Amino acid sequence: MAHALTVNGRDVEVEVPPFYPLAVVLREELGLIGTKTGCFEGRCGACVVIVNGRTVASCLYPVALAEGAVVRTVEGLADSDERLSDLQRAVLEHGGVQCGVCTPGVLMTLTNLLETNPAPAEDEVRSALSGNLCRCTGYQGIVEAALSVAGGAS
Amino acid sequence: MTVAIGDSSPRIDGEAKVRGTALYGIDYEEPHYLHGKILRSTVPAGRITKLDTSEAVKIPGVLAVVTAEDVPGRWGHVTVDQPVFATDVVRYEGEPIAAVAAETWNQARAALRAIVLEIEPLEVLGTMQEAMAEGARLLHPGWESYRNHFNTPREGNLAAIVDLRRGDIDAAFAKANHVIEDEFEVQRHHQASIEPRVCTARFENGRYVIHTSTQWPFNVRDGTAGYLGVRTSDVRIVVPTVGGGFGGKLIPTLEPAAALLARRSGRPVKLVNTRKEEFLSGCPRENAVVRVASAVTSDGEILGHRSEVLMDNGAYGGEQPVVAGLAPLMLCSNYRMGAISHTTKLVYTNTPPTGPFRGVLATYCNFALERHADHIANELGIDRREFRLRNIYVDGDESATGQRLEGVAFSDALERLDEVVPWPGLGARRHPYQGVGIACTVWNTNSMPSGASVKLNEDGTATLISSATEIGTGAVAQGLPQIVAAELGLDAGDVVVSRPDTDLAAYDGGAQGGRTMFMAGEAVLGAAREVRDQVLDAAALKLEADRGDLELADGVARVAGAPDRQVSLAAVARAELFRAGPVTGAGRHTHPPVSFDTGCVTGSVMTTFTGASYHVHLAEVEVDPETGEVTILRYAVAQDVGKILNPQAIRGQIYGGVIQGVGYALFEDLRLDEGICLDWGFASYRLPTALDVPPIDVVLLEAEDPVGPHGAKGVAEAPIIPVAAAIANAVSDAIGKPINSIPITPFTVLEALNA
Amino acid sequence: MATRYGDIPELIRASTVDEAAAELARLGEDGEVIAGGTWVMLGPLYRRPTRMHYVAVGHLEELRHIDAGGGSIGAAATHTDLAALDGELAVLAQAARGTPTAIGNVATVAGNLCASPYPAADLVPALLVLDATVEVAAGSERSELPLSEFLAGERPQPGTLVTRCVTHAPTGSRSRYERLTVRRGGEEAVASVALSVDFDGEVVASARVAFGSVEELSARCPQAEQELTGKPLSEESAAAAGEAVAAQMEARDGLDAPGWYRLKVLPALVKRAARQLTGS
Ligand code: FES
Ligand code: FES
Repeated sequence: MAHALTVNGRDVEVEVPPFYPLAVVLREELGLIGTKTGCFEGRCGACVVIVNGRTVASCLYPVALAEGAVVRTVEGLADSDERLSDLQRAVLEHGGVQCGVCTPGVLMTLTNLLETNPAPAEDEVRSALSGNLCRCTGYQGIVEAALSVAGGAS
Repeated sequence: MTVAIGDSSPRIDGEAKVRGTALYGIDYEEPHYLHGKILRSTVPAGRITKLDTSEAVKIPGVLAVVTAEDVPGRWGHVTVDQPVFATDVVRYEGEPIAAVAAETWNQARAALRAIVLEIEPLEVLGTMQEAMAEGARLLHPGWESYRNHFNTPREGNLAAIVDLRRGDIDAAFAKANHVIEDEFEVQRHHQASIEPRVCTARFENGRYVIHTSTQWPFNVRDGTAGYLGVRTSDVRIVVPTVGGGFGGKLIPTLEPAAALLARRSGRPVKLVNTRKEEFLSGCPRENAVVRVASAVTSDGEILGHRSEVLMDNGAYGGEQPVVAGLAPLMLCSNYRMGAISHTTKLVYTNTPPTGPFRGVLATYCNFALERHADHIANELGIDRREFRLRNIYVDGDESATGQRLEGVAFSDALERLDEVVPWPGLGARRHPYQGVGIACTVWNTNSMPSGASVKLNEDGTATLISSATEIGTGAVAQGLPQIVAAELGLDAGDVVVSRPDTDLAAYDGGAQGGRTMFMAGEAVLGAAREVRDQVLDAAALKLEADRGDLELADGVARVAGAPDRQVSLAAVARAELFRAGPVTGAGRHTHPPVSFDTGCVTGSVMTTFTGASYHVHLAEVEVDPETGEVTILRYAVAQDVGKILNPQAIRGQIYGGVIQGVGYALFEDLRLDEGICLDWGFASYRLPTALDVPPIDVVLLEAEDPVGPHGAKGVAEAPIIPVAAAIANAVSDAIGKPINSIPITPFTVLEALNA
Repeated sequence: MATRYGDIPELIRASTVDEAAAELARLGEDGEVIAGGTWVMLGPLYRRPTRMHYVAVGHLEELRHIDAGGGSIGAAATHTDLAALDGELAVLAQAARGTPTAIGNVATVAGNLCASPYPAADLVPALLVLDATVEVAAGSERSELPLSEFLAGERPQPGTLVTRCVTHAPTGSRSRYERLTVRRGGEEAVASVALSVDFDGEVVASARVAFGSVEELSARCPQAEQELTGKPLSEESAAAAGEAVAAQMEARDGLDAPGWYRLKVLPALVKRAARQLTGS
């Protein structure tokens, strides 16, 4: 079955069964390995991408539901191949990346948060991250990064 | 900008990680690879009465099915007790029984379903108590015939027995004013790296080439070769980006099966654990029971200390017999204890094998020791901090095994912590159900050896070739290149680091025990210094200057104070190429032996501290007496790191370690019921979220180590260790009742309050 | 990973509510609704049976529509859609906010009502205290039934489509949802309370109380409601309400929490909710 969607601004069509998780389609059909999968339970958040302006756990999102949708993944975040986005730079500057396997999901969650709420308070940042597990960093660098970008924007 | 020691130099893998282009084990694929899957036992104990794979092999797309018949050998880090696939007996739920490889994931799954497996259940020895009972069934009836690399004592269902005796314990207890006893119980704790274990194997030219997400490529090489019965050099391990380890990726797990499937099918094979398989197949930190008794005088001097640790090994030994040897060092530690009598028993059970997790048994030995210290202090009516100050190690004191300790930073740590969070003040502003706790620990830096080489490239940059493995800590992505850059006067961006590859680089003892900066760092420093030597010689020649007047900075060699007399490292490298050959250096390092009282301990191969570091943690908590919820109001860490090499990386390790400790202390719990794993997903196995993080103050101390590079010690492992103890002491203080088991869930707290 | 490649053959994307209802009626036992997808996609992992055909309705604007004034909540409104509600419906917004964003963005009202067994469904107690009715389409027929009745039946009822809920909270009533978790968040509640109260001056004129996650299925609690009614809302009356219920309930033991604990914390939960309502 063919499914048409827009991923990082590019129109794509994939020929897969309807219940293929979007995460698998992104990774295996479209080569967008930036989206990670850590549980297939909707609980780790490594697979979070933005669909039509809202974050979803792409491991639990059947590709057929993304028909015609606008999907954004970590690969679409940087300003260019030279320049990272402010948030990407900030998580590196604040030590918010260690093993990095949670990072794509964290970046998508925070990107979406900052787009909908440009100046979140610390507790809002932490709440927004409650579905993104990071086993390495203790979250401190991640939260500081988000707040620094929010501060810059306000 | 030239990088210096002490800078927060950035991660060299950072950009790829935030762009999503870093290639992890789960992302790594080889052309035309097959999907592998493992058939695992659904029962914890039984005899295989039928295993028929004949239908599975007929499924279209299935290219290989393997069972114990294909790989009869056993392997073990210490005791050679574990097969790749269960042979006739199944010893834990999740134990591999067969593996398949097929063109598609669905075909592989269909093949698994087509295997006919019948298991006749055996009595389940699901707990240590059951396995240790008089006349209990032997988990390994042939245990005596298993080879044991270190000849450590074993007996039936006891996979290892460690004993330590020093001084006259009976006299100490006879003389004491008080004998204070405690028993503690702790749960299993899973590493739960977000990237599961995964590998891709191929068979070429008679060798196995395996790309795997591991922390210790050489151990996986040796183990895989051991299982397969081939020479270690017949296995090549290459490590893609690793998505977290924490000890869970030290030993071979999927690699031997993948290797075998690749050989049988003639195609590359990829095996990935599901999250459920991650939980089922181990190797979590073991559940354990700790019993302690101290003989003390009325003014709080400890005359003698008796202790026993029971560690659940699960079905197979793994690294655990080595870990067990560390118990007396960690439990009979921190304080001058007088006479010591200690026994640790490592017990085989019908449960998934346990294994190393950051801090290994120190997390709970420290929990027991520091809860016990509070108990003694309270019992004697001595302030808990004061009790510690009276007894804690100072320079010249001896460890449990009689090692003389120098550079002990405990008193310093307690003092510095007090400047941040004054102890007397804590009592004064306490509300009901608020409490405070401290916990101290000494910790060891793993001293497995390392080698490395550095080459100066013809453009003046440097390449570090090492099998030290980056698992997220920054030790390889920040620290090692920082050492090279600082030595050669380069930018952080001017040092490239090779992937770990057992064909390419010298032996390395793995990303464990905080050793990468400590041991690999010293080897790298040696290699970089050789390069530096060659550069200085060549530059002196070229600049007609005295070698001693030269400095390396900003990518050039120059005469100090005469900036016009300089030559670029690129020019040096190119000139040297034809004068003497490429500029390249090698370094190697092993830790000098440490003397101790060799007669006092049996069953242990970890008898002394190397790169000992000192830590004090403080937790301030509030308990809701109606719901049992524990809120950590504030947390503080004073940590001796030897020498601050990269402050940002250190801070990240402390935050991350403390939060893992918070999970361990408050809710992470891998529960088993009659050998059946109850918590096999993130739905019930609770990892800390961003909401569970308390505010943390960090104080760094620098008690330089005589061996570590620039005086550095291991940093990353220890921050998890005292957390459970500090929190449990604080909660006990808050509710006025002892908390002697973890996790301290709201249920435990309410139970304690209502008891 | 169990759900990775899914075994379910067909997903039918309905273009109107009527078409969805007709498809479901035609499919009967073979069909089921899919909206956000989380419950269906997790099915294999928890060994829940899956159907042959799923009818997708999450994208239908009509089903997502929320008319706060009229108390009409579209069946496919997501937790995130609900999070902005206030006034009489505040309890629903608070209940919705407990779900992590990436799940709350897709998980729907009807999904919460139809998921079974799912004792921790946050929206259920919230809708119960709002006296919600459920509108169900069976083919071209539409009918409305009280939520409690809907919950008592087979869920989802084969061949049918939930189209919306209609709340019937007294005008001016105030409501609150309190959930208790072991971690600070990011997980299902081990116990929760929904409280909706209307006041006559200081005095509680009527109260509606329901608990989540305690029993297999949430229900209204007349004993608790009685304890609260006819007096000012206070710590004492709240605790008494919690205790009255705890004495009557049979709590479930689960991996997330033991049953006794769920009962033990009920007074504290009601107190928290009451404190929020009285602003003390
Ligand atoms: S893989 Fe989707 S939430 Fe973990
Ligand atoms: S950086 Fe490793 S899980 Fe977040």
